[in-house]
Amino acid sequence: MKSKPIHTPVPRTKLDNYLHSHRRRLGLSQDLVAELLGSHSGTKVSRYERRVRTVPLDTALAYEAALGIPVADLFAGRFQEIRKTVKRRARKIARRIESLPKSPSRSRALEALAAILRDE
Amino acid sequence: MMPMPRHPLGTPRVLAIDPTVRGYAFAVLEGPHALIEWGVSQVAPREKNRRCVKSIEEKIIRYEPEVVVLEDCAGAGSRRSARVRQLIEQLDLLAAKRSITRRRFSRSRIRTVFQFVGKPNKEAIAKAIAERFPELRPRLPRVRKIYMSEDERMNIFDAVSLALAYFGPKAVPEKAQSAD
Repeated sequence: MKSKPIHTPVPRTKLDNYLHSHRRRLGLSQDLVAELLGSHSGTKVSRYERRVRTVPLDTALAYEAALGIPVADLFAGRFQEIRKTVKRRARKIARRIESLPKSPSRSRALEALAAILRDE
Repeated sequence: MMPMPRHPLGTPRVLAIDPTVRGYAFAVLEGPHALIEWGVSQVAPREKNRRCVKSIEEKIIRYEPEVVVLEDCAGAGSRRSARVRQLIEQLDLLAAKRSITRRRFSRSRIRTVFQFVGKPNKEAIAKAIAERFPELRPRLPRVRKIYMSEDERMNIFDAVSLALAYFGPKAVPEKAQSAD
């Protein structure tokens, strides 16, 4: 196989979560993070990292506080997916609202929906 | 705290694998600046290749790489054993089966990419990589003496250097480049 020195960018999806990467990057053990999150052992942390267990909202926010990384970056893949779904919903709502008679509240809503669709 | 740098979408996730005597070392990068995962995996002595392939398949499922980077054993400067050459072929096949892009780089190609370090031997390359990724600093093995076997941790740096070779010469640590 021939090797190519420069990569060609391809569409890429993020991993569901980056909890493991960020924890290792900061040199923290699972037990230490568990303590920061208010858990008794690192087992839960391991399950969160392996996507075996869903992270509750309080724990996600505790993660942000402990690791200093925004929740959207910690759960980048999940966030990407949710954002796509929200955008799809926004498009649907915008189509529905556009058919309504013109009013100030209609244009405000359309503006807000346009901002959602614009968001990278 | 140091946040992980953000990366533009469109940068592929790369899994670089460097077989060792007891198993393999691996590194996952999302672009030349984001090291996502790294480590050394050891497998039981019997049927090392089969166990390695199984373990690497699990890594592929977990990290969903778009590119798998391996060493080009046919290239100049490669002193890989027959077993390792066979393992690399098996990994190539594994990636092909999963429709993952495969790239191979010889040691001499890696040395070309890291030419800025002066004498691009393994130690100098590893040092440059540890400068780029401070999280790898604790894994940096001490300088090898002639009577010492190579430290297994060195293979982590070899895996990272393979991944950086994929991203091209521009991906080399800027700090070290300016010092050159």
